[in-house]
Amino acid sequence: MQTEASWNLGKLLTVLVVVLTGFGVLPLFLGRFQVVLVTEALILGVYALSFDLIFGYAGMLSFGQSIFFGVGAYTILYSFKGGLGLAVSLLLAVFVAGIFGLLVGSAIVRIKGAKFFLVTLVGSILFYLLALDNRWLTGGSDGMVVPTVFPGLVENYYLVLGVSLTTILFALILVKSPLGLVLKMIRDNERRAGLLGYSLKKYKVMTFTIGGGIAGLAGGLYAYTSGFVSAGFFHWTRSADAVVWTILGGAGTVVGPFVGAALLTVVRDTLSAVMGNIYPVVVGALLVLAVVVFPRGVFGLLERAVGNWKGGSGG
Amino acid sequence: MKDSGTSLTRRSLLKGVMAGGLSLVAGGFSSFLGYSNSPITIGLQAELTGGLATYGYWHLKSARAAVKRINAEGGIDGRKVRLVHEDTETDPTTGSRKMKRLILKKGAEFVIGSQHSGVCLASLPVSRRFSVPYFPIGEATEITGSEGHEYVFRLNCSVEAHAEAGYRWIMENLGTSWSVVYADYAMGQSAVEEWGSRLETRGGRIVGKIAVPQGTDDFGPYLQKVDPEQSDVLVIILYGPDALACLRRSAEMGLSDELALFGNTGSVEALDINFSGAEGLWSITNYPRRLKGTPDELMSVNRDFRDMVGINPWGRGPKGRIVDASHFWVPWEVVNLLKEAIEAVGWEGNRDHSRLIEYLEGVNIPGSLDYPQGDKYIRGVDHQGFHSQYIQRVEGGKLEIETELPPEYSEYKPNADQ
Repeated sequence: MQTEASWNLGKLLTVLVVVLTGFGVLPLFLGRFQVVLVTEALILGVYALSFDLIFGYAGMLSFGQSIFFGVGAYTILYSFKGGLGLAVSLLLAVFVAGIFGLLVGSAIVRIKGAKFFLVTLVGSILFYLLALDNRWLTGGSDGMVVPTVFPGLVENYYLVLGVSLTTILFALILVKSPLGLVLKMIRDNERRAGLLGYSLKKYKVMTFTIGGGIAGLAGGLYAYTSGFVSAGFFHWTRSADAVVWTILGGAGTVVGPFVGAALLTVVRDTLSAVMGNIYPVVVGALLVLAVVVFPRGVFGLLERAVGNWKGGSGG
Repeated sequence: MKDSGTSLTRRSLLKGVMAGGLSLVAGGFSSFLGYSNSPITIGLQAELTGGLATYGYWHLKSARAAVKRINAEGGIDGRKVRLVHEDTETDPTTGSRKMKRLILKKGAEFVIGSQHSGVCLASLPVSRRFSVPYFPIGEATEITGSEGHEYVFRLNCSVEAHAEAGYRWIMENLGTSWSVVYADYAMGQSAVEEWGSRLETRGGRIVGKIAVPQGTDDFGPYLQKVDPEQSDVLVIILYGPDALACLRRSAEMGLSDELALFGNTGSVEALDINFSGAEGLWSITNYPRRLKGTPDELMSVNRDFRDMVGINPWGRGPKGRIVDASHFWVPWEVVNLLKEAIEAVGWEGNRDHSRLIEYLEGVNIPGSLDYPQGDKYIRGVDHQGFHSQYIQRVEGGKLEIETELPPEYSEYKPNADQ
């Protein structure tokens, strides 16, 4: 007789095989520019996921993710200039951005509420201004070219897909682990978690470090695939992007940030092709809609739809 | 009797069949290689929204006019030209994506680039990755220097070329002690380095370098740092509204009475300078705003060129919009240069890019309707173009050309070998 656990495992494996096969054969059905867009959406999904760990799971509304994204991107630039290979450079991007996450997190996690949001926002503005002023190091607003060898669009896609899936797997393990459960407790009832003896600061700093490292990975991948970096990578609007993608896609879920990033990448490209920079206006409207009509994001909507369907078919 | 007229002999029939067969084989082979009589697609990366939207507006008009003229005259090697464009939104990340869109989605075989140096730098890797010749308009020296590559050609002057021509003229005509007020971002910082280092090498002196954030309304606190006793010239390296605000305030503070004011190429670009603060301002430009400033021998072709783009002799469009005179001619000339190169090397498709690149390296371009800005050449080693520049002055609310600096005047030591 089949147990419920083996039945769930079977379903999970089926979903995994379908998803992997789908993404694996996707380039066969896409145009070359669409491959570029999907690759970019995956990278931005990884970036949004880094914010989701901090906000969706640990409850900290941070506008500082662009700091780690920028640090990761510039780490790739300088490690390539130093002659390091791609794998080592990406690991270095995770490590260096993680260290920045640790330092920033240690300094600010005790701050609460609106002040926390403002401090992280000011932090990203500060890093942007520093990057802008130190042109010798960052190239300023004009930026710098990353000395990479281009392997090809499809090769880039598979690289990014592999990294994204690994990150998703890591995040799934993390959020199901005791650490993830503690983080959710902190998010839902911080006082209670403290009374139960958990060190809030330690867990929050840990989340900031992991989130910083993943944002650095996304920044590194972005710099590698686009071939350039600029001070703009630190701009606070890039932090805001991660917030929007996550809320729209579904905060507190591992897949939601990817859904949000993919959706808005398509929206941005479509709008930008016909109407110039109207994208921010539309995104603002979508965000308001998301918060009011479907607060659990697009992924929440999908989950509800699947639940209703199962309920309907079961009844 | 042998009929040499129209009668069909076995030999002529065989010849005809062979010729027809050969042309079919050739046609099939050429279409197998991807060559055909399909249109040649030229992409334009333009700033149609954002901070440099004024430039993009004119670049698009200029490119469209060039393509319209070529198509009306039979196209390039009998093939029509198709212009596709994308808006960079004056943002490097968006600009890089739009470059990919132009190449991968719209099939651009050549791309004429953005005015924004950041967009150009972000697009250089895209041009190299997809082996597409790229003609950026942005002026950062690195574009044809440390970051340039074999597919990149810039027809217009770089920041370094402006500095090379401008600093000598200022030293010889206005003075050797400068105060510099500059835009505190990449373009301004780069320009102040180029201008300042040259001045000091030749024994001049920078009295003060005053960095001003973009979007500054009140220049009073910054201009108070200028010491008129020590300075001969106030060099203004600002762009758009910032330059206007600076000029207004310097007039109010009486600086324009005590010092000569000199602006970089962007300081009066596309701006209405008919106000008292701008009076007497010297500046450097690639091309005169007003038709009467163009060289006599090119006056007639420039009249036609401006008519085709839709610019009147005073440098304004139909709705009174002022042209970005220093750069709007570039897309027109690049389209014509592509026609010249494609026809010269028999370019049929992307596989012929190497021959086209060889042709462009070191090409001499004589002034004509195709090249109304005037004589120029592209230096083979770094693919940087050199052409005349002009020193102009605001007199009675109008930009009057004072002198023409020949192409050699701008030439600087190459920074790279492409």
